[in-house]
Amino acid sequence: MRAPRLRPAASSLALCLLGLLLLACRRGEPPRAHAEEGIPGGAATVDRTLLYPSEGDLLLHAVPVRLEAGGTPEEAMALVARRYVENKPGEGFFSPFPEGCAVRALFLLPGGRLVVDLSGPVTAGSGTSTEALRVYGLVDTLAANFPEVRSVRILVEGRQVETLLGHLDLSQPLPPQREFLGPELQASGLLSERRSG
Amino acid sequence: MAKRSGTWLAGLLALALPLWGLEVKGPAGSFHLRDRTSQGVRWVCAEELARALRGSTSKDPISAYPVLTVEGKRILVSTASPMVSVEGRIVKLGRAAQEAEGCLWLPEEFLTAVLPLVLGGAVSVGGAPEAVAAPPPAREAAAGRVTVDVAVGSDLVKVTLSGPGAPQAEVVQKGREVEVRLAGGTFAAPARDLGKGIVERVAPDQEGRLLRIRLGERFARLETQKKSDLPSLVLLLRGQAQELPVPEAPAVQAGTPPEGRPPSAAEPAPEAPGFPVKTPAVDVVVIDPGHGGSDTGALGPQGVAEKDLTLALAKKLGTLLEKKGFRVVLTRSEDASVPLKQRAALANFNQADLFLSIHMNASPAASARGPEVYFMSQQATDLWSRELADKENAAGEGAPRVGGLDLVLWDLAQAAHLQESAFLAETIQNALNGLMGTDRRAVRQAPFVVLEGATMPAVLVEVAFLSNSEEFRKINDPAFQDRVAERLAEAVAAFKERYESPSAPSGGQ
Repeated sequence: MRAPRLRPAASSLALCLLGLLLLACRRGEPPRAHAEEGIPGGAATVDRTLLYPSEGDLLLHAVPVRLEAGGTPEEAMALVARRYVENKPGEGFFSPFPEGCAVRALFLLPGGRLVVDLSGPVTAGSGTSTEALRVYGLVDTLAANFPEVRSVRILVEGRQVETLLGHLDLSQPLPPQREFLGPELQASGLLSERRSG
Repeated sequence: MAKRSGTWLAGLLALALPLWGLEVKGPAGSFHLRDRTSQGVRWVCAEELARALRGSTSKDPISAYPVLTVEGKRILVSTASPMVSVEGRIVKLGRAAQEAEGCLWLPEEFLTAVLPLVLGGAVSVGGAPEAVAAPPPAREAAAGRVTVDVAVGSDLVKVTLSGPGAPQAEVVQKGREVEVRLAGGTFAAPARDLGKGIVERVAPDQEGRLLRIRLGERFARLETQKKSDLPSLVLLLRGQAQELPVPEAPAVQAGTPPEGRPPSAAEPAPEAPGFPVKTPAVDVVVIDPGHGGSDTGALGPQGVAEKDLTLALAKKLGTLLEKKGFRVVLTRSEDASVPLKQRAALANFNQADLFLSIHMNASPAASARGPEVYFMSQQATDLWSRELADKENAAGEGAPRVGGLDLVLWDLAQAAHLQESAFLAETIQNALNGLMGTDRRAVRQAPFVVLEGATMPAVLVEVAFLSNSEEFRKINDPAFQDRVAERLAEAVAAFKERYESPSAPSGGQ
């Protein structure tokens, strides 16, 4: 028997609040060991928050997930990036990334400059809204989970590209941007400490 | 006898020169430059410096900023920031260059910090400051003297009189001439020949009490403005609206400027104003129909391409704006590929006062709807600035360069217009909300390639979501496109009114 479906708005709000709560609780704490299906037995896991656009307002909202912690910061970041890019969020949200897109590599450079290399399908699709949410969904998700990330440079198939879909300049590393955060995340101050950093 | 007096004169000059101006010693020898002291800093005239070094001055064809070319190397200078770019390398000075009296005045530090990079050796400066108390290079008119600044726009010539007595000056139009008579004081300005157009010549009479402005063929009307807090009088000499031109070739090459325009950087003319001065007028609008050619942009349910809708809408908007008296240039008038950076460059080349990039949106969320208006991201600029600073610190004498668009171009050109861009974006967003039945309030900022090189207020308008069947049906209807074009034209007109108003935060006088 299927559980009764919550209204999308109510479920979105609940998920956002949960995400915020998890984000707040997680800060400053080391990864904890969890038993989680799909994660290698005995591997340490950690609660992460992915920022996905909602179908209702086209803004980013918190979607909590539990992921393998990763041995190094780069590994942890790669796990978050892969989960974000290669998986779909729950009901009421959508992934700004197309089917078949994958994270090819990820490097953390001095100064908190992160380089994420994505596979070719990332250039599929159209629209400024799609492109902005694709770019800043990933950038903001990584910055929200890893305070040391100051900017993200996106490569496609190992190469620098001018844009993904013809609008946003990807020739430069991008800092996180609060423009696309939902109102509850704006109010929480998420990423605000990174604005002048 | 003549030879003897010539030798005597040369000897006297040789004795006198070290007492006059700056003595500049460098790898190529030494020379003297006239200098002025203002704000505790000595300044030299860029044109005189270029002549002394057998170089030249011009304007950058992309940004329209002053350029000195010395030893084949380009030095991009700005009056808005104390930074210059030497072949892409950023050099920070203590003071920004200033324009006055027909010269671009460079701080003394320019000689020792910038010239070595192009001359290939150290440069030293000596000599006493000019003994005669000279007028400062900035607009600090000496008591009783009224300075005259002339700025030439596409459809406007702005003459700014600054100094005691300027607001009380009597302005009278007599046929093809405007006379400005001072009750007291004198005009401190050389005669300026502006060629054909709205104004042909601005010149004071022998006594300096009367300024004569000879009107050209395109002159339409005269307006005057006074600032309540400054002793100044602004004369706006407006030209007749021009025909909607055939869009210029996208490639921005040195060549013939648009008809009726002042000479551009590609053709420095000795009698033209030396350097561009941004006027508060909004007369030239560049409309950029998004995508084109092989880049279709988004596709609607029936395969209708964004590139075709943006072109249709841009043409309609252009016609409406032309009727309102604007000069309009399209970045493309047919289904053609135009690189993103060339679109902004085209706007710069045409000395546009506004840049509108028209797009149609799309989203994986089928319910996504409503117009979205964007302008450039200051946050991205901040990051690029930090990146540059990091590179400078790390590389020392390296040659920092921020992508294809160096910091000087970006920071000085577009950032100066963020406030106006924000206002324009909000005006358009509100105008389209009413039409589309949406209530989106926020406009957004992001680093758009098509906007980042534009040296004027610039926005990107996503009119409707083609992925939304209802919005697609609307925007695919030519009658609805007319209504969208009307709203956009009204928004541009509202922006013009605000921007040209004397109380505008940074646009008006």
